[in-house]
Amino acid sequence: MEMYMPLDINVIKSISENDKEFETDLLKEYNKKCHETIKNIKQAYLNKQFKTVSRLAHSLKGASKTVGADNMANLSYMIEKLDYNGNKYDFEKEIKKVEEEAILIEKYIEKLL
Amino acid sequence: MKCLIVEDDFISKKVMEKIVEPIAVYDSADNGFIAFDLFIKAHNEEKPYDLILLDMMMPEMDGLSLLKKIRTFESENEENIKGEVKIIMTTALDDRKNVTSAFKMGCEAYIVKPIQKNKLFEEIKKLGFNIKET
Repeated sequence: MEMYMPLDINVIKSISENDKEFETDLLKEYNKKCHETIKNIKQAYLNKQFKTVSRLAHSLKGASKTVGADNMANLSYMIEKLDYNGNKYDFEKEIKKVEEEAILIEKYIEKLL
Repeated sequence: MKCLIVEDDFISKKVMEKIVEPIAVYDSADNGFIAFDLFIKAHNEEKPYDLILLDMMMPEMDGLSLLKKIRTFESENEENIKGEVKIIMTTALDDRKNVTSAFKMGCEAYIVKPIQKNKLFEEIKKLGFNIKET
């Protein structure tokens, strides 16, 4: 069975030119950003700051694409584009997927480093 | 080549710095206000930037607003400055509707994130820069 890889390390390697310190810093920073951004998205949602929710999700999407975490980028895009006039269920469903993906990413980064 | 990277996202900024490092001396700004201050400072010191890599979507002052401010400054001071800085907008795939506005406001090019070294170098070369990796 193939192991799911939430992040394509080759994307970072194509930029780093074998600079391991750069790769490590970037991965650690990305992992931190994932968790912080999710926390901030949830808080902004609770405060009904939907533009902030969208902006934060956009930022997470950009960072995820940059490091080759395409699934996280797609999940963030779902949050970015949610219709916040809709029901709370949609947000909770999507943010849960993002949180689960962040855990997978964290474990994967731990293995890489 | 002297370059200014304007990017609010730490990860994207770090990657862009890594790409630009071998071909330019650079400064970075994580918001439009700091970027504009650096742009003015560079002019005051008579060492203006040759190139600005400008993120389209930033909080407070977005890329389009900063682009407009820069071009306004340049047109108001055209007798005192050597010419316009080249500006490449960096944008998300779904942000392309703003690209037309950016071209109208005077950017030279745009590239879609995630930034790839080859694509960025290609655009820089198209703008007439002779880039040599160190």
